[in-house]
Amino acid sequence: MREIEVALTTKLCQDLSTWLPRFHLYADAIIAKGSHIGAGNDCRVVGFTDSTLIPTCRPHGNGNHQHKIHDFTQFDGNHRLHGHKFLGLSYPDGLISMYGPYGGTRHDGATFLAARIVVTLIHFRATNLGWWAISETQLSHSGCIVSG
Amino acid sequence: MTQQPHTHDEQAFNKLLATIRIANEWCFHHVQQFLGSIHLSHTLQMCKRSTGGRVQASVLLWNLLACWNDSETAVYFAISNPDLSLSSISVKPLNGNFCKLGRAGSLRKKMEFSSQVVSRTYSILFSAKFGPFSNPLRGRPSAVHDERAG
Repeated sequence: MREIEVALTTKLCQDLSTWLPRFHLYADAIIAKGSHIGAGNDCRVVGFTDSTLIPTCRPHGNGNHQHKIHDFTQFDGNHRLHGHKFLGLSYPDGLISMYGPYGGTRHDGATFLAARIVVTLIHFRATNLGWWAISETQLSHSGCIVSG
Repeated sequence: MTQQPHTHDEQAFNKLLATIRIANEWCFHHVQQFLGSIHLSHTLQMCKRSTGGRVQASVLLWNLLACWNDSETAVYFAISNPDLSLSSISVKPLNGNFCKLGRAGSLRKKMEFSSQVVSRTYSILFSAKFGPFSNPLRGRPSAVHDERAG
């Protein structure tokens, strides 16, 4: 059951090539909604990313409040909660690609790099499958990342 | 402590980035509303339950639901949902309405409903040999053509 779960979530939720035939629809929809980014250029925005924290219990329970067992890898200082970090890549048609889980301490930019979205988009561009970009809030502007 | 924007440029930049976050928060909200058990932190015990897999499974189910029914995001952007072809996937909702029992039922019914849908979805997807997206491009709705032509 675990292998099926991993295979399905990898195939359906995290594989960018799955959504590739619909990228031009996404880009057209975003531009038609009034976005000035990507309009008239080859680089077109197809999705939006942001990280979220799914809170969980403190590892090994509340008896671990004295940090006898290291639980800081799951602690997010921003939300002040223990949990998992997930990177959500949302498309204009409501579908979601969820990358993770990552440790709660990881920054949004670190999860974005760990998801290897940019590597996949660069591969698409190198193989003439289109120059697509992802709108991201935490990283600077680059070839496949658009801030804002 | 969060630093609030003061100048006009800072406020404009904050508003520009907030629009991206709002689009993502819609999706996170939908997933958490659809399968509320992932937001119960006192039941998500690491090393005892698959806390990460539960979130991914809920996202998978939400994608299936968004393909069957139009999501609010798709209506906002006026874009068609993919055809879950998904001829190979014919997961039938219980009682004819996928969301009815999940919203109005008790917690026990919700968990039974979720477990049944997960098991049934896994069985059908696995029998389809991971080929559900053979024809995901269904085409653009005519309303979008008319709007852009006008």
